[in-house]
Amino acid sequence: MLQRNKEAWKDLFHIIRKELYNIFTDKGVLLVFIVACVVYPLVCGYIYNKELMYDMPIAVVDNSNSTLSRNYLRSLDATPEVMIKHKCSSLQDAKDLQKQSKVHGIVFIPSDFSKNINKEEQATISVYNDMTSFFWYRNMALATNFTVQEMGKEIQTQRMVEGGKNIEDAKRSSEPFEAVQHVLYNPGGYPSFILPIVLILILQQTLLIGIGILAGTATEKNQLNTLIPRDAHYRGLLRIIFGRGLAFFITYIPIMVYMLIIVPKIFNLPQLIPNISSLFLFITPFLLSVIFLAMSISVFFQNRENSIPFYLFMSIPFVFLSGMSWPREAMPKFWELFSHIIPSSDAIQGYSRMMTMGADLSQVSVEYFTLWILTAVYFFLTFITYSWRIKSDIK
Amino acid sequence: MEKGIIPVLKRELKKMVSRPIYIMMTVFIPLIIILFFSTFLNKGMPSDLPIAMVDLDSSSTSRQITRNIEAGQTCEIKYKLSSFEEAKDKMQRENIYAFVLIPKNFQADLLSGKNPQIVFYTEYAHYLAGSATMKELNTILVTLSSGINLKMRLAKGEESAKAMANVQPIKLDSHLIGNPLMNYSYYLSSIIMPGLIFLMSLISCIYTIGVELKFETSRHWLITAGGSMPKALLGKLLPYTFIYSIMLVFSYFIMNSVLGFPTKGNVFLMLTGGILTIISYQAIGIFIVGVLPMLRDALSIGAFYGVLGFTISGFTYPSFAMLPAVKPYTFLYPLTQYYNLYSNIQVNGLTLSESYMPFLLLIAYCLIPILVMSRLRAALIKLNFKRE
Repeated sequence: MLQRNKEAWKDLFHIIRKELYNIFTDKGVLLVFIVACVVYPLVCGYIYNKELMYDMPIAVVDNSNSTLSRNYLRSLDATPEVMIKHKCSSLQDAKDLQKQSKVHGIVFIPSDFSKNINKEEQATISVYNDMTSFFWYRNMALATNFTVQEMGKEIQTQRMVEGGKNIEDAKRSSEPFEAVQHVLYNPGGYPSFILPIVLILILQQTLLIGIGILAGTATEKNQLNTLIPRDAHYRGLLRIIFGRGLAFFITYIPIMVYMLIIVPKIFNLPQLIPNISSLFLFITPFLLSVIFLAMSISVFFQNRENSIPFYLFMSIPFVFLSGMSWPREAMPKFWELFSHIIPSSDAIQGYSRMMTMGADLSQVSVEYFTLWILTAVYFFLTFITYSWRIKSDIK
Repeated sequence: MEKGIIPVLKRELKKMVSRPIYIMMTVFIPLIIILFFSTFLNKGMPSDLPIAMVDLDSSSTSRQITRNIEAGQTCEIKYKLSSFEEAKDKMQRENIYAFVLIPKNFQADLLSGKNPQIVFYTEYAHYLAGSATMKELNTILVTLSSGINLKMRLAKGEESAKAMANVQPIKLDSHLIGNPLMNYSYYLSSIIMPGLIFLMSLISCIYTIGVELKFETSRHWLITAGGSMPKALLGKLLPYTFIYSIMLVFSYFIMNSVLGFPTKGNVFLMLTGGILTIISYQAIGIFIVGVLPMLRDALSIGAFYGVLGFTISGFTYPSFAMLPAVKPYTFLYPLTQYYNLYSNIQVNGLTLSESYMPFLLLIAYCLIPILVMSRLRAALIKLNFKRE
């Protein structure tokens, strides 16, 4: 018994060594595992840099042409979100500019604007939003809502002061209570929202592709095109699966440290995680579940290049399935359930919340637990597909 | 042996049915993409996002505020909590996207004119959910504040139209051009669905040319084409151009006819632009294999280049928000031009004469292979590049 145990460990270490050798001597795999993992986050981080979403060009049509309308436009231009790029003489001219995407919003002030305000009647300002991107609308809505509210308060206060109230009382009664917004987490906006998603996805996609390449290579190179090499130590399915799996896991520990700890430092992303060791605990079942998922699918690859065409397109749907960009509550039930079988979905949730929202391991326990279940399920799946492949290789 | 485009085409079709990866790339993957994006975003806009109320006042006014928030579309009050810490913990656990804190003595302070504050806490870690709850809560609370102002004025005997004009001296009248319901699926699916089909046309092009080099069948391919590179490439790539064009038309049909996405401009113009984009990506595929005549490396570089297009082409994150040094790189991607066509034609209804620039650029991409034609030809004949 002891003797057999000893042999099993010997075989396991032999397999790990051999698999690590396979990984580090395959240029194609190294290109995916190392170069892509080093370069891609840097490129993405550089593109997103920090949010620079200010001074979006807009057009204005001022038919009122009064002190009041000019005051309003000055305060609009002063907001960080928009910049008045064109003053048009007609709405049609402005709309033409917007159609050509030269401006991304139009503010139209009608001719009765100041007349209405002076008569103490409600005045209207029309806004035409460019809806070809969410961000155009967002900037325009923020800028116009803010300036209209502020000017409204000023006018109100002024009227009350004219009516004999003192200025403090007037200010107070124009706004019975104040609604104050506080962004508790990730005030940095889009870049620090998207990068954690991208980082976890790169880990997953490179592992899936790389493991697929290695399986294809084994099939191409081994005698008789088998998945498992003819080697006395490659006996016992569990040893083979553990040996291969651990070799990938060991390879990915430094890559993971670079991606999830160093890259956020380089780009100054939020790093509120209370305890860095909990990140290691959390990410372990993520890496293992991805490795076993990749291994169980890899038996179907006959050539080393097939894994790129197969996996590449999935990156984009996986972003949506993470529940970070499109909220879980808005997903159709089927896709919501489906999202949990992809390791990146729960890993992105957990990692993002640990890093950007300072959650500890107990606050991401649902995700953590799900990832361990996936690890177990994909381990068994690997066992099944490997047995099938080995059987069909023998035939 | 017959020579020319047709024999090359027949030869390619035989290859395409011989191994499952070809059917995967040309039929299954595009269909999965279309299925996913036509069902996943069907809600168009997130609603009933869970939030929490921390009502430390529990007065009739604070209950009224809770009711008003509940009545809104975007937020759903999932928890009523008793402290800031509790709410923060719920947020970190992702049970809620925002919470509203009504302080003690809120009603009393309000009535005595002390201008109390209501703070609402949100987060941008879930960018879309965060923005949506933020906007809704702000609107509801500002409206409520004005409502109270209006009530006080009416109580003092002000006439209602006048009171309204005093509470809100300026009204905003907002028009959402081309997307009145603020449906996210309209502009996300409109670009991502075709975008992924373009990505597959790039990858399949690199794959099918690279495979000839890897298995050393490139001479046979070139001989079948009668030694002419243009014929060899046309015969080989036309089946892909055709299948991806069919997929593109199908995705249009799903989006515009089944899901009812609004379209203003000429559909045929838009489709022509889409097919030109497919050809542009194939042209870039030829360029990549031409520079790197090695299946493995060309595929890796193509994958890297292709996926980055979704980041850089400006429809998820506007190019005006990127660093100035990054902006020129948007021209590396035909997808950028496709996005321009979408804004110009589909949303804004421009005609060809008003929007010819993207078309010219797309045609320019199609000419790129000329740069590597002789290099690729040499590689096909000599097979002088390392193969595995």
